[in-house]
Amino acid sequence: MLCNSRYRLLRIVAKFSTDASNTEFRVLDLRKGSSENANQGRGRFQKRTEGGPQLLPPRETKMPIDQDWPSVWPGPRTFHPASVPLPVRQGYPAKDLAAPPGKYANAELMKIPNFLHLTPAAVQRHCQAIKRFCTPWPSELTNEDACDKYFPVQTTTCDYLHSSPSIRDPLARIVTLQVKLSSLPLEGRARDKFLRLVQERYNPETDMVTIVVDRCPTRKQNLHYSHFLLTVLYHESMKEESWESEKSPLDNELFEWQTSASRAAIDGLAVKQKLDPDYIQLYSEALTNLMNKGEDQETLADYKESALQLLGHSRN
Amino acid sequence: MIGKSVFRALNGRQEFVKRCSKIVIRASSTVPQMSLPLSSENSNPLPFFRSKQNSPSLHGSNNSGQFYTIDPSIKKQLFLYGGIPKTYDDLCKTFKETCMMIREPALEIMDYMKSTNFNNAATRYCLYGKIGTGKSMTMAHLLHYGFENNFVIVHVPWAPYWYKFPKEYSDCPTKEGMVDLPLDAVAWLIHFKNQNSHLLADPKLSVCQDWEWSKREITKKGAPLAEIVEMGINRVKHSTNCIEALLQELKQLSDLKRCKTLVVIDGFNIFFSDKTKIKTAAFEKIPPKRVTITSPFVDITKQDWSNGAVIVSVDDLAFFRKDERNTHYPRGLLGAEGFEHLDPFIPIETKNYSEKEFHYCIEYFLDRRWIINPHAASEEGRKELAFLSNCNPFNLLKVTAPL
Repeated sequence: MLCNSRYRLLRIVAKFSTDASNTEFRVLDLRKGSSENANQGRGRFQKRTEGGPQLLPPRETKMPIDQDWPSVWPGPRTFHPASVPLPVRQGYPAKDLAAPPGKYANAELMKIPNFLHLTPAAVQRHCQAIKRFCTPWPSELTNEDACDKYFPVQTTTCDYLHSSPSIRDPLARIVTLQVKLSSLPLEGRARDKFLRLVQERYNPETDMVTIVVDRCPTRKQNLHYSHFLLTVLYHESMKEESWESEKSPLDNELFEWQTSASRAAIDGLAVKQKLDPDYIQLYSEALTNLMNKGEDQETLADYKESALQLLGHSRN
Repeated sequence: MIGKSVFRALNGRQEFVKRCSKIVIRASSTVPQMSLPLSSENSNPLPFFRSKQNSPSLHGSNNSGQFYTIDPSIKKQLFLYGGIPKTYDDLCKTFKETCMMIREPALEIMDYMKSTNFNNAATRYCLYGKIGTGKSMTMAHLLHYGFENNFVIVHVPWAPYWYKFPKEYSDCPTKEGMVDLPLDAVAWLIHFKNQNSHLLADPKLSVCQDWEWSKREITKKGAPLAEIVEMGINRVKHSTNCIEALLQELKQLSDLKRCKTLVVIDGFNIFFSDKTKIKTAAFEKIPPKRVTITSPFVDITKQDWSNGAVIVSVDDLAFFRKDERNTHYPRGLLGAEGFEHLDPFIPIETKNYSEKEFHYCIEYFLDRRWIINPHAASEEGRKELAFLSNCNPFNLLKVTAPL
């Protein structure tokens, strides 16, 4: 927008060239209140026209719908309301019932990052440009399970960007290694030992072991250490130490019928009275369920049924 | 007589209860006096909430929810030293009759007991349920059933009393590290004698082996079982040993089919807890397993004898307030050790009143003038009472008390 005094000066200059009653020497009169200027320029107490000088309409109103957007917005740029043909609103309204502030003169919209340069069409073009440098997707990796099968170990690292003299961030050294327990060939005692070594790093719902390593200063070192940990865990679990045989029934995570006192009691009872082996089997299942799942109406009811059957009681 | 102090301790409680019930009756003198017609005096047909059958052996599912009356003489024999919960006993004094509701858990256990093969090992039944749902009352009903069917009754009315309010405790002279409860043992023997007086006279109940109490005191094989009981009552020093001998004898006699035994223990889970109020002479607090009276009762609940039944109840109230486990399920209350001991057992649940039972109970209270407020008898009033008490038998009693 041109400021008023400059505009007036231009008009006066223009007047010089077009006035028909020109003599040889024209008097240049730049004073504000002079009569010559008074006709052309605005008077001291005359009103200004609303909205200032006439502006061109914003570009967005003239954008065709099928335009090539990546050409309009080729790279990351601060939000420019007149170039974006969207009725975007951002921020809290000044009054409760009003709409959020519009996009013109909206500092909030300008502060936040926008991804108008990364529309699907733009991304597709990027991909097309890069495609000739890529190899094809492996044909064996048709679904998630196949990916898990061929690439069981997932390594996660995080990169940080700083707009400061240093590009370093100490958190960038952290390495997370994730592997599914089912992909490791561990059974029985070895699996139990592995879980005891790994403790809370194992999530039984997703069957994932997550090891987070950050003890070394560089990412590469942490990565190597995490690989080392996985190897050591596996091999230590597979080894059987002499003191492992000292595990008592109290240490068992789950109730085991075979080694339990209940089984001994039933065996003792079977010596004196006739017990149907099928009923013993059902009873052992009900008892194991009761102990492992916890007591509630259902498990207790099952236990009661099986005990009644086993001991030969029935209601008339 | 050494038994006197024990009698006073037991009867003192009875006296207090008598005085309380007198006050209750006096308070109701402001209400227009109406004599409470006893069911026995009523020549008209019984109301629907009362049962004609006063014999538990004849109770069936058609009597479910009905109240049956216990004869005062039977009550005196069975429940003189405990068995009916205090609050309910006061109620019975107020109503001038001892009536009990016939409920499903008792009927169930009676059914099983009627069809049991008594050659097999004694089955353990474990009553569990939320507080106030009728575990002790069910046990009282089953005690009556056992009494009628000539079972020798081994009854512990509330085991935690021994560990929370012991009358007297002293270090055991014979077993190191154990503590005796001599007076409690004598009290229990008196209770046992009272309950089984009619059976102890039976000549079949004779001792199977010699029992030596001290150098000069021996109970020879073939002597009547009552001799062991008398020995324990008279000689306080040997009372716990007598209990041990008695219960072992009962196991053997049951195996030999000379008698059948019904063991009823309320608050069984206390035997497997960690704490008591009992201390050794060196002021060391001890767990129940170091108290001599624990082992005979834990022993008799094993399944190494036949021709009998064991009915125990587990209750969170058995523990000290601070140690409450906030569960009413048997595995949680018994703990690993207790569960292993009792396994395999039949868990029987006692529940809140069903709609029918609630209705019958209200009718009974109205009949006995426990509920005088007319609004309480109405449809809406009953719904209010059901909501306030959640149909819990004990809560219903408390909620209707001021009405």
